[in-house]
Amino acid sequence: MRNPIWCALAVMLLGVFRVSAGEGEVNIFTARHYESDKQLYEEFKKATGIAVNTISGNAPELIERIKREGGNTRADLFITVDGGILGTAKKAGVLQPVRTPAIDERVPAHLRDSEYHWLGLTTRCRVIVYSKERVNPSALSTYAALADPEWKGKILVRSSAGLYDQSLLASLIILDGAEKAERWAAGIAANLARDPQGNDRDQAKAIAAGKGDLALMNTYYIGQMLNSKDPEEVKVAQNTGLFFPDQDGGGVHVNISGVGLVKHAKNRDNAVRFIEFLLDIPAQERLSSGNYEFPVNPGAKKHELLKSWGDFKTQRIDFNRLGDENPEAVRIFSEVGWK
Amino acid sequence: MARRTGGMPSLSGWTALSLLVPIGVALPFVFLLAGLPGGESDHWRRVLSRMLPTYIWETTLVVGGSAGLAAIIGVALAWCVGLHDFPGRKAFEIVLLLPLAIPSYIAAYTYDGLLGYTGAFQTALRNRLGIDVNDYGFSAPRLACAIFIFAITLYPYVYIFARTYLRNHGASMLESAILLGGGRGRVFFLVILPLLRPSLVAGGTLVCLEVLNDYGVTSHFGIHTFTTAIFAAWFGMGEAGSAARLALMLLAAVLLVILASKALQKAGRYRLASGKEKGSRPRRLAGFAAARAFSLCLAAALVCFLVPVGQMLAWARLSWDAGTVGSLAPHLRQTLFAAGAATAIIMALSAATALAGHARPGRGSRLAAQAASMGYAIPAAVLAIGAVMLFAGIDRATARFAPGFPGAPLGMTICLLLYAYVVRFFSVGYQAVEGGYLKMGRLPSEASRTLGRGPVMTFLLVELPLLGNALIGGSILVFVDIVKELPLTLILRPFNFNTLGTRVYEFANNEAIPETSLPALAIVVIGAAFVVFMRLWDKGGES
Repeated sequence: MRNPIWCALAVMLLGVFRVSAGEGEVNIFTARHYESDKQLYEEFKKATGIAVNTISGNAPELIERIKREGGNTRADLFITVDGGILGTAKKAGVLQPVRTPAIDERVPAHLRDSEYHWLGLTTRCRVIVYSKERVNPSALSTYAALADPEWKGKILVRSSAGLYDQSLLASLIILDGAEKAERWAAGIAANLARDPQGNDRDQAKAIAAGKGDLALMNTYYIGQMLNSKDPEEVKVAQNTGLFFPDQDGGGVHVNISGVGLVKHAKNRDNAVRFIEFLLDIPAQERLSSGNYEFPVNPGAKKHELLKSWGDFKTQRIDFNRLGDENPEAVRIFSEVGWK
Repeated sequence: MARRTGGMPSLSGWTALSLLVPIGVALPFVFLLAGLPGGESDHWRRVLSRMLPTYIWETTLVVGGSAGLAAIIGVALAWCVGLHDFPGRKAFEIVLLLPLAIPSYIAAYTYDGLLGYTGAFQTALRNRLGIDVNDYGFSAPRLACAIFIFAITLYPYVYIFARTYLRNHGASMLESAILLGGGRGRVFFLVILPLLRPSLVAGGTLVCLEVLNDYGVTSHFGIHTFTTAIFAAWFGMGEAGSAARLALMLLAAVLLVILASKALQKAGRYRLASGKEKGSRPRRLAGFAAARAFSLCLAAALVCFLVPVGQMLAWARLSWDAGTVGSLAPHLRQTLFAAGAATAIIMALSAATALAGHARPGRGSRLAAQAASMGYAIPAAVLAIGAVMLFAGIDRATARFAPGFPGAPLGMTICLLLYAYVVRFFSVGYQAVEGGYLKMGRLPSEASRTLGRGPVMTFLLVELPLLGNALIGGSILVFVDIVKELPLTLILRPFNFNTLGTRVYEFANNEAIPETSLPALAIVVIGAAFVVFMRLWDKGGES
């Protein structure tokens, strides 16, 4: 290269192409964007010297990217919320088993894949939220009862494009069969107070606004609203109650946030260390206190707010099946008009 | 460059150059279609058969409604500031462009937050006056919400074209028509509106394309469009093949929009003296008429820009802490870097493609350049996966034939994202350069060629200086578009690459809306600064 400009260009190009490679790092594709997670990455680096590199995004798109990159992928770990998605990732063949004594000790068997393709990090429940003003909680019992005619015009849900309700319906398909689940979804669609819209917090706000009396919501959003910087949001959360349904039957719908080791991971040892770190008691307690999720490690203490909700019975199903039944759930939503 | 004689079609360097970008744009779609399975599962077929009419109906409604409302707002404002002079007009001319700086999805949840139960509007009524609007059935249908958001954020596309036109030709037209005995209202509908048709069509087409490939606003309001269907099929049901076929249907819709716009533009072209007419003076308004024009512009500025930005500022105060602000610095840096680099590449390619097209004019090169515009209209997620597949193919080939090539795999570098930006926003830059060529006319280039300069020297010495304004204007539009971009950035970025947009996404995804305000404001401020700069620069160029 005679010309200095070409030399400079070549150097710049090399700079662009430089990929953080090799030792001292672990690369994560994550669909969790919580601030508490970022603090944990920092702590892990401080404790081990291993840098945590992340790409965050929507879980299905991240899976698609890992799949299309094949053996070239630089992803070591895949982290997401929703058991169905973890099952989908396993089925897509982008994960590999990971098992160590620490993992066995820290994650109960029902909160991990039976073949160790993924491991739970935290859990959350999809509960019934009700207006303290207009609903007596003794009138509440099960998810099924929400489809009763007495709640006509009272139920608030988000769009069925959302994964949380898809997984809830998938769990009912697994527990009660598709036919009964479809009747339930049709009953809910007939009881809606308005077209499905907004996010989880919007449902609680709609209760406060008097648009409906009951809504389906994930537990950690209640915690976040109660601790929001917006005083109006705090008021909304204080005026709504939390009900864990199906305590005499199948249990409340529980979903999982989890981590899997990517099949073509280049930093396997670091990745395993990071998994064990996330499952250890300090990180677990941090996740619970920072984001109001339930820790999977039985030794970790729950946040005070979660403790105040008491003990409750949860669904016992293989989370992978939420992914298997997802297409059926989507079909049912479209047929019963839960848009 | 030697010219072949005898009219033999030959693949000259120019043809190759003019084909470079269209091929580059088409590649991800080729990889996508070639790599996807056919057929679909029984479940998805049933969902599709039930939902398809909804997809078509709601897509039509939201696209038509948004384009219509944007056209009304854009023309009304252009009529106000383009043909009249009143106190504050100069400021409004700029402020009314600023909604361009607000990404539609941010406007959507900003307005939702503002008007929602916990928002400032309802809270003030409830806590101060004891009025709960919900007692009076306060609610808005979701389709209307989406159309409103699209219209207030996208109307500037119509406004820009219409205002420029009216500024240059409108006043003299209006005078002549009124002299001939028409009332102002009649003149507006019979003379001005038909004359505005090309600007309406050009702006309206951009609005249609933006709405067609939107995912943020439509999914927020629970609207079922083709784009949301593609997401549902691919990322919800794993039906990649079906998603690709839906994308093809969407592409057909896009083609239809572009063809219709071409036809409408041809039908509505009137020959007018070119350039600005010297005698054309805006009418000075006074008294009630001035107050009326002022309040219309003020209302638009409030609804479309000042109120959403005010809400963001209020949230920023709520969620302010020094740590968050400091942590935005790398986001800001990476946003500016990616947008700057991609803009430079796009403008260089646009200039090269336009140059090639003009050095060797012909139907083929023009068509190829138009084909390259398709990248603008495809849902970003579809383009993104196509780009991933293309780069995976390149990386496999590199690994096989040149193992140990420094830096491979390419797919994990910023190149992937920059490439996708180019595919998506090439047409924005190219249209600007083409517009510049059109304005310049053929005379300067032909004179230079007659004097014996080759096309390259002609471009460098004659055309480039004359294209300066078009290039700057195009760069700014592309840059602002990329700063606002989210879906491509989200899927294709390399590790630890976070832009202001991805930061907004992370907070919004956690439903922590007040926290989105700081990065969102940064996006708006960058965009607004460039829009203002463009306006001032343009003015300098005009005089």
